[in-house]
Amino acid sequence: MRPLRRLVLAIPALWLFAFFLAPFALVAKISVSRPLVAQPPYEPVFSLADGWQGLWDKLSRLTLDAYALVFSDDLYLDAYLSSLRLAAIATLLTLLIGFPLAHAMTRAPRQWRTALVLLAIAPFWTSFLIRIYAWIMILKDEGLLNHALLSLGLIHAPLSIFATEAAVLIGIVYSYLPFMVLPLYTALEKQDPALLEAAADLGATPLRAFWRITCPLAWPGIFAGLLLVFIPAVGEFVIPDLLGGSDTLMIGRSLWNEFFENRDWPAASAVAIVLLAILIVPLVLHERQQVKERAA
Amino acid sequence: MDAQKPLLRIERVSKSYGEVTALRELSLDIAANEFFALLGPSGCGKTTLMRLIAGLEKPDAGRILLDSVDITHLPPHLRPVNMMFQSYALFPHMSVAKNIGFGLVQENLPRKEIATRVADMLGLVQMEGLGERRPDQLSGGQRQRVALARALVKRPKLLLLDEPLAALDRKLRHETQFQLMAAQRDTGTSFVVVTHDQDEAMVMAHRMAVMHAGVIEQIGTPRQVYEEPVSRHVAGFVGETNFFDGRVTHFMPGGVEVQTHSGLALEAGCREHPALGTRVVVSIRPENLRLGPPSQLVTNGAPGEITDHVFREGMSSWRVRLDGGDIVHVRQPIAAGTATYDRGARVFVAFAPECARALVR
Repeated sequence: MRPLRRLVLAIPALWLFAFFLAPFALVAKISVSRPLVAQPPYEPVFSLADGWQGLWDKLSRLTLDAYALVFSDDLYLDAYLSSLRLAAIATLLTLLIGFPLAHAMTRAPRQWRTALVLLAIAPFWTSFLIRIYAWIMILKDEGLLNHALLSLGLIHAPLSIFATEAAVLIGIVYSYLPFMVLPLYTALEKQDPALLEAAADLGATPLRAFWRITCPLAWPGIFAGLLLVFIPAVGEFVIPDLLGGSDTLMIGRSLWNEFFENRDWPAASAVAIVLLAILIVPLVLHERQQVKERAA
Repeated sequence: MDAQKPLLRIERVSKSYGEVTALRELSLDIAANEFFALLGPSGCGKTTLMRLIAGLEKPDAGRILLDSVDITHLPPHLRPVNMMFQSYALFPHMSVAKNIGFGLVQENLPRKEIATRVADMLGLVQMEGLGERRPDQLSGGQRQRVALARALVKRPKLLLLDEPLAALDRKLRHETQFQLMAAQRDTGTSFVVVTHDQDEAMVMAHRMAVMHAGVIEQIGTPRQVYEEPVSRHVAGFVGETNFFDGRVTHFMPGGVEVQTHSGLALEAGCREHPALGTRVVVSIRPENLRLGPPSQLVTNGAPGEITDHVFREGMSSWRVRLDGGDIVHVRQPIAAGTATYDRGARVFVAFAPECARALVR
């Protein structure tokens, strides 16, 4: 029994080590290296052949210059703030759309619910990239949306949504909506409908009952949904790159630029590490919430 | 009671769910300060009726009046009626005190008054000192009492209780029956209990309505309903009984003589006046049958053989196969000197005609 149990635990541990911790260590190491026009584009590069003296020499050449650059250049600060702002707005929009959606799903006849959940995740059956390209076709000046609005006579000149922040928000909200809907649905579906009847019976208006009963009981689901959308949205690269304009500043793009255009791997790694540090805050909050739930 | 205006009046209320008729033109009056039971098997419409009174459902037709005010279309949160849910429906994220106080918070009462009334209620249900607990930290019996306190704290004119004892174990159920009766007396609130358990209704209620297929078959005191059931369904649902199917052969003062299909001639009281030859069923409660030695010859009786004998709670119960083929259940208290009969013994089963009822429906 016992060796088998260890083996079972070792598999995820190995997985985490190989595909998460080891790459993280590499990125962390690159972030304290110096940029170089070479292959690889940074130094020092550690090697087993160095010996103790060589290792010591190379360790002393490590530097925090990349971090100094990230913190001193307003471009990065702006990119971080802009990413957090856009992600926050998109997350709130997702909640505003996702909550009524999940709520309606739990009120649907029982035999439909599985089908509705499947529909909510149906977009995943198509490639993410293709779906974002499809949004270009919809949102661009001569796209489907403008075409429809013009022919309905609702507008007289095409709306410029494509290549703006609005387009990025639409893209993020669309892409991450299922991550909001699913935890909300799970939380709301668990609720005993008799609780709302009891609240009404005790004199609570439907709105009061919603605030005092439905919302607090759905809080774990709301919180999970907020994090599941917010965290990936902050670092989102594809959506701002395809749907955003040249002035749409997001940290994922800055990171891409450092890596592939400036070939400044240490700076790019430092950007990534700082991003990770920022996102650890909500993750810790999430962990605390889960511990609290388990204790309750 | 009949001279007074009723507290609750239900007038020809109907309700259907799609093809299924839950209530059929049902009318009912409930008096102030009354402990009333709605009794019936599942699906008889008793829960629907209760939800209509609470305002959780709307009737298709008919009116509901509380204190002469038409409340048929009043939403639940505006009705001076409260309900104790079968699942209790306690709010899991609130403490016991917050649960009990919820209804008062909705009335925007001063915090001090809420605290006082919640404390009073905790006292009434013997839960002092447990106000800060969460519902999941309570036993089943405690949860039941919190649900009762939460429904009573608003001092409703009428309290609805949906299967209030169903989730409790047998012993606790017995104690809680008396607590509910005391709570009803002490608060002077009218209680309407919905139950499928005839014992509960018999013990607690001043009056009860036996429901079947969306209509009330009989309303009366528990004793009336037990001793003078109006239909086969009521006789069978309230208490145990023996049925004999047959046809009316003679008329007698206050009753009829019935020839059963198994060949017995039985005299039975009857409130109706069925024509000769009408199909009726004779209902005789097990405690109204007597066992005697086989030699004894009486009218209103039949010879048979004991097939089973059980002793329970101070009573002896026998199953007897009559020679005509009927199987009857006889129950007698055990007293010193009572003759007893074992399996296989030949006996004579006799009954008093005044205790038998001939039922047309």
